Amino acid sequence: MLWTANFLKAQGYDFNSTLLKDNQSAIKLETNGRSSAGKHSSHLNIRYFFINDLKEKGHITVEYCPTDKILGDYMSKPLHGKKFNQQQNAILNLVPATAAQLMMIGYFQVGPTKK
Amino acid sequence: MKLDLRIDGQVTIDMKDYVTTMIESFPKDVLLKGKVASPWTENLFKVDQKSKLLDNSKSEQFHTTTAQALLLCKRGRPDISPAVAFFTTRVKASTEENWNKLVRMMQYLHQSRDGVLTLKADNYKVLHWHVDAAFAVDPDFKSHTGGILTMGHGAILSYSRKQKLL
Repeated sequence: MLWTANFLKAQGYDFNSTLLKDNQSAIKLETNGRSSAGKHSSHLNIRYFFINDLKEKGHITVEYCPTDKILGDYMSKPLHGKKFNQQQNAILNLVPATAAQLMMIGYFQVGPTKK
Repeated sequence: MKLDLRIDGQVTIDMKDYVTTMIESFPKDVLLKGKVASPWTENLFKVDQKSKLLDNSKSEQFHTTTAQALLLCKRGRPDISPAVAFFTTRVKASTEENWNKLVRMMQYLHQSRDGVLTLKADNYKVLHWHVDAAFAVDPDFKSHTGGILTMGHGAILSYSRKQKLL
C-alpha cells in the first residue's frame, strides 16, 4: 500500500491512500490504538498498531465501506448470483465502450457503401 | 498480452490469446459439458478428505493449468483469483474433487474468453484499497484475505490468499 503511493509519488503523481473495510471493530482499533483494545484484544503486540501510526502521520485514511459495496469481498469469499456479477463488472470494468470511442479506434467502417 | 491505449484515459489489458492457449491445452470433452454462471461453487474452500488422488497425467495437467491460471489472474483476469488461490494450495495432493473445481473454472473461462480488463482513473486522486477477510474458511481453520487496489475503474492490483497466522 505504501509502496504504491510512494511509487506514484516518484512518478510525479500525488495520490492519497484510502483503506476501505467493513469491520468496524478493526477500524476503531486502527483509529484509537490501545484505547479501543478490549478484554480479548489487550495483548496485541505493539507492531500491529503500525496502521494507527500511519493514520496519525496522514499517510493513509481508513474508512468504513458497507459489505455489499466492498470489492475485497469478491477476493475473500466465493460469491454467486447478482453480487458476483456486480463485483466482477466493477473489477474488470466491463462497461461497454461508447459508439464515439469505438469509432475512434476504427471499429466501424466509415465511408461509402458498395453497390 | 496486448495493451490497448487507443482510447484516451484508459488502458485495456487483453489476454484472449493466452486464455485460448489454456483452453486448447485442456481436455475439450469436459469444457463443453454445460454452462456455468460463476467460476466456483459455494464449496470452493471446502476439501473432501475421502476424495481419491488424481493419477499422474491428470495431476500434471492440474499443476500446469493452475500455473497458467496464476499468471492470468495476476495480469488480465483478476476475477478468477479466489479459485486460483485455492488450487495453488492443492497442487501437491490434488484429488478428483479439486479436478472438478478446476473444470468448472475452465468452463467459466471458456464461456468468458472474450473478457478483458479495462483500467481507468477518475479525477479524485485517491488510491482506494478494498480489503476484506473471511474467518476460518479453509480446511485447517485458517482465514482467507482478499484485497483490491483501484483508482476508480478496474482492479490495478489484487490479491486473494490464505492467512499465515489465523
